[in-house]
Amino acid sequence: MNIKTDQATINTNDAIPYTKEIDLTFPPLSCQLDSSNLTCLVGPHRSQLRAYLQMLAGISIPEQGMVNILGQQVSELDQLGWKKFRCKVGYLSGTAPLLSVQHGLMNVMLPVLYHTDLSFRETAAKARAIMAEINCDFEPTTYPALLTGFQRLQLALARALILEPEVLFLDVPFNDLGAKEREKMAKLLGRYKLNRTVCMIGGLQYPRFLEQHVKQIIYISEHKIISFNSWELFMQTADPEIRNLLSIL
Amino acid sequence: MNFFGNIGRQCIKLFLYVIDLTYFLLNAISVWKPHRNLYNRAVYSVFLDQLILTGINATAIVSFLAVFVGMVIASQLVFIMASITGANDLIKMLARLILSEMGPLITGFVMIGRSCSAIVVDLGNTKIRGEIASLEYLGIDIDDYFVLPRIVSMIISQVILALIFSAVMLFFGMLFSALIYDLSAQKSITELLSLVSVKSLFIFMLKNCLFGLIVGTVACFHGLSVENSPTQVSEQMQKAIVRSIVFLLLVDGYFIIFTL
Repeated sequence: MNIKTDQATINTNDAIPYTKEIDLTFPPLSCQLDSSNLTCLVGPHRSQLRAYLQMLAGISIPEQGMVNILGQQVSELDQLGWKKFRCKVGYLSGTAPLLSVQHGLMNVMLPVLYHTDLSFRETAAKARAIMAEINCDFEPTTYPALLTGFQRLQLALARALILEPEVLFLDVPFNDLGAKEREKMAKLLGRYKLNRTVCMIGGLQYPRFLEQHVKQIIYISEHKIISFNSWELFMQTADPEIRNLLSIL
Repeated sequence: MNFFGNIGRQCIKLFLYVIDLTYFLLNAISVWKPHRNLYNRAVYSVFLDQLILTGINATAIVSFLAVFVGMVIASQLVFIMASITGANDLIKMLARLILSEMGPLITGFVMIGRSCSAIVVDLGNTKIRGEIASLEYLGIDIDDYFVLPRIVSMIISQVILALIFSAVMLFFGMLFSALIYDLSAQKSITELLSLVSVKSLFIFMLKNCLFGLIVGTVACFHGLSVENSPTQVSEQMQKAIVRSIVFLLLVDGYFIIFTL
């Protein structure tokens, strides 16, 4: 397989995620995630999809095969290289929460304070600016426990974006949101997918978002991996497994 | 046979635990590499928070405890010494007892009860809620951000609190002795200062640094040993407290043997 090493893409070649707790079969994944494109992984097992997403995000090293992210092979990175690499890759998780002992603003500031030499004041200004951009209309120094699920997700998005990553991973971003809030979140995410490679799981929780923005859908189950180049092709498929998955939604 | 087998298994378990703990500490310290900016703002802010929680906030209770323990120890010593030799060696005994034993040990126990348990609960709950994992996704080193600031602040707090405890305890102990036994406070202080040597001060500092290191490391190790169940938090807290006390007494025993 010809591996493209474009600076803003992710390539995988027969990659199988490393998992020790999930008792599922993982078929090898060969795919390419292009710049400014939104790719969604769908399938019947969320834990399986998350394992693939974390492998694509460089959080876990593949058990087999190769994953190339932004021209770098994750398995070859040393500790310092991995830290620098993580600044280029944002990861928003709808289930992994913010740090509860720090207030909202500090949570957003944290990656900048840790990875850069910006002063505290400059970092705070940057964090406030990004929070305003994301329409955080609450007091920035509120602790996460006192915020709603949507407000916490807004902060998590701000935290994932503050280092201006080239690639953004969304792990069930519509998790635990009401219909109105899903719509608002979809608008926000739609805005931030521009000029970035975006890959997500949990997109079927709000199909309208996929309908509007998705460029590639990768269906992953225990037996097969099928790639679709548009939402329409995915919806029109006659594959019985996918039809079954769609009928459950 | 089964009895000896059990003892053997427990010894192996203890040995492996000590190896795990040492590896954990070395792994945490290995974060400090040449490329690492020592003044990392995120880490520094956690360090200050921890210093306030474990050190500054404990000053009042440690001082309060020192006043009463000082008076109790002094009154007992006065009573014993008066019945044996008169009050000749009272100050010497008080200084030795407080500086080499009571100060570091009682402060260590306060740190275990107050801060060690707090660290285990804090880290354990943070891990269960998935907050640690989400920081790892951002490239934040867990040892750097969670472990090292807690251990360093624990060492500094233990040294400073033990100094405060010893000073307050000595002062009130001598004051109380002077009141009961009609000693000259000025003479007692002069005698006490003449007893404090560079060597005794060095041993005092070293002992307290080790105590802080042990309590901080054990607390972080057990806090991060929590996996996914809230019941593990109390379980790990219990283990951390008991093991910290055992290690503290072992180290203290070592110091007694080699400094007598």
